[in-house]
Amino acid sequence: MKPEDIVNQALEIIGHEQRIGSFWDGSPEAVVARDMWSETRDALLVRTQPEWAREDVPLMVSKTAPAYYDEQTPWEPALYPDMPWLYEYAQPEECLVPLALKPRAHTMPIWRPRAMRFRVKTGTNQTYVLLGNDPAPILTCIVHTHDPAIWYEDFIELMVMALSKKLERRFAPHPQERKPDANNPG
Amino acid sequence: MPTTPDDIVNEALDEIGVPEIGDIHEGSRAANVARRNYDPMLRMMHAAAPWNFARRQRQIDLRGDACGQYHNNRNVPQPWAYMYEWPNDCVHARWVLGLDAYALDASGAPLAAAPAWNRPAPFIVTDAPLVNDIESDWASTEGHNPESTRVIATNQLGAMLVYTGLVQYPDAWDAGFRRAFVAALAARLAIPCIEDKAQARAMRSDQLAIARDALIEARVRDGNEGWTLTDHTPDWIRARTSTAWNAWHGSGWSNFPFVEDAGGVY
Repeated sequence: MKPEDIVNQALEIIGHEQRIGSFWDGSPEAVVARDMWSETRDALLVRTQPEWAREDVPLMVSKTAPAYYDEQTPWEPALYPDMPWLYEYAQPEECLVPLALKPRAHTMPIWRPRAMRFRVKTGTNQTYVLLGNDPAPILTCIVHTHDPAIWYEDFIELMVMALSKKLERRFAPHPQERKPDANNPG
Repeated sequence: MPTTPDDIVNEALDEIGVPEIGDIHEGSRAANVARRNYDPMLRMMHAAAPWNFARRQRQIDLRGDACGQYHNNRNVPQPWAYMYEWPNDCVHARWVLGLDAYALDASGAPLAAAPAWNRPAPFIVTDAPLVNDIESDWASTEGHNPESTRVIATNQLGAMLVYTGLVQYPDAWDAGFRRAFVAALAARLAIPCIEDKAQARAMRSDQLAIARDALIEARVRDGNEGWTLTDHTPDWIRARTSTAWNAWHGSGWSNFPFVEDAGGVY
């Protein structure tokens, strides 16, 4: 299954006769579909959070809180993480939705599971960063999953339906232009 | 493959009709709620009944001596003579075994101890100003915090504590405990994980009832399973079977096994 196949299914649902050969074939359908493809896919991944798009990614610390704050060590946003957090991490590029932090376990299985809090915020250079209290946690997150070959069927169906709703406004035939149904001409 | 906490969470989710999780760190709503509740619920259910599978016994660590003879710290809650640290794995102190030792040897073992008397000694559980290193593992150790430590105060030298220990491994749990814990965890998961809150409240009530029944059953079974004597020996019988010097001294090795002090509740 290729992205173009999904777009063509959406076009068929709205009754549009023109199909696309590829996103780059220059047709109006391809141009419009290309514009909305990635946003639609990511929005559905964010909303449905499918298991096959879930991955563990180690986090790298970008800021560390000092042992204590006082007059000699005042809190400075550029140097230290937001209070009261101990560490700030860059959000990995592949991460779409951060779901949970976990420690790097010493024993497996983990017999005493504990919750680890975290927070997402926009960093100084307008990128997402994470705040937490573990020096080297692992982030479980929904990642960008671009290849439709690994999507489950229900997600493909969702994608077809979502795209068809968007393409309908642009390409669905006007009711007066629709061909009469041979079985039901009235 | 041993049964893991993830399997127990899935059993609880099965009880309330919520789809199972892959693992407890997967980040789903059910997994996050379970991760917040698993450890506290496990401790609570251990402490809720005298589970035989979790019974542990050991000589506890001296942390204070009111006389200063065996420990430098003399700051012991009055009127007690000795203060001991709450064991790391303890979730409930059941009783202190009276040893009646008169001293400790060089290794710290009680001298002339008489554990066979099976006599419970008075004790209290209290908080003492024993600080713990901020870098230590105090956060995952019950009874320990940077400012103070939970202690057991008693008059027994070389005290032996009988307690309920935390058993982290589900395969080592009693079947009744597993049933009770799964139901209690399911009750905690119901409200956050079931969208229909009316249905969630009903599920929670059902699961709490199951947990309650399992706890009652555990208490009954504990009474029937352990070899504890509940017979009270009247003093006129004791006087008849005793020699003159110990006739009115209560339990002792010569009266064994007539341990009328140690009823079936221990």
